[in-house]
Amino acid sequence: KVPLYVSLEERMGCGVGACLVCSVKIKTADGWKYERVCRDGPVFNAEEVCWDE
Amino acid sequence: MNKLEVEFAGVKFKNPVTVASGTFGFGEEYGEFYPLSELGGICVKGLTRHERQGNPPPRIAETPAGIINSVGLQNPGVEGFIARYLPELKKADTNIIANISGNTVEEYAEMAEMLSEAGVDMIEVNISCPNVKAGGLAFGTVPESAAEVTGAVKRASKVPVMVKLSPNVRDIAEIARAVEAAGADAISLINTILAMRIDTATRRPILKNNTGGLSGPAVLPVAVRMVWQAAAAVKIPIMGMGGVSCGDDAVQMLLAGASLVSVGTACFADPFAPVKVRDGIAEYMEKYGVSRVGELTGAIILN
Repeated sequence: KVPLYVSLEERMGCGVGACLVCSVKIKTADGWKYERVCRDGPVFNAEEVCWDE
Repeated sequence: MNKLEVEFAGVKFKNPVTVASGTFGFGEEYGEFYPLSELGGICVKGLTRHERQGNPPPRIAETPAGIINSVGLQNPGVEGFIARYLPELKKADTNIIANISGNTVEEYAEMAEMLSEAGVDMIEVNISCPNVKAGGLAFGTVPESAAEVTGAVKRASKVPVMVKLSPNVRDIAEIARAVEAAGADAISLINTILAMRIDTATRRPILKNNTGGLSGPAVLPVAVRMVWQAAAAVKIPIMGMGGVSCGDDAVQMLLAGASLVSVGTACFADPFAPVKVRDGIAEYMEKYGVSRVGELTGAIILN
């Protein structure tokens, strides 16, 4: 199995992490939370991304 | 910069420029560009009683002269804010204006009590967010519920209470009068204008939430008009916002009746927008020989 990282794109506003429009669902220990593509990404571990959305 | 000082609802502002709720987070990100002390105040991201995840993306759509957003009040909740963000904000030499949205009148009051106890400088009551199902806009569209929320928050808060009005109403002056009568110390307007953009290739709205709130340069003339109408209706001071990108826009707001202005969407294209707006106001005052920014409030000359 090869680790897969993905660079995501979501419509953005401020581009610095303040406005929260570019949120993507990321899995957490007890469910999920939104993270910012512009600041917390744009690269994410593919296993952590909620792909169904 | 004494000439830019404003006393607003009993709170001293070193200059009349604040940043608008939802556009500036809690100051962490933009604080990397310039010290928050450059600003008269920061209206923090809208808080709810408990943490909210917000609406699914896409949460933003571009329009010819602005944006539509449907963030849906994603925020850490009042307790999360007080624990994780307020301590750092207090270190910045700027006014902290806590924006609150409740599902019930009781929730608004509870949040106001918690936040004023925790030491914010002012409470901004959001009765105008168009992106959440309950609360928000629902309270702000009729004078009776707007007054009820205002009264409850005023009784619970130790600090001045500013009510943020929605443009999505029949008569902004009516709402302004109702919240003034209920004890509001100030009002802020406008919040975003209900809007939609459709992707004609897919025939679906761009926003996952279908509709959202329009902001940016397109709304400036609507905001200026509403500030002017509200100023004619009430004696309490006004924070004017909606499409302000430069000093001249801010001066329009002041002339229409505002004492403070707030800059929001403009920050997205230029993080330094609020600082440039402040400096633009100062330049105007220099050019026209205005010695105190308060002289501009309501100084419009009607035809």
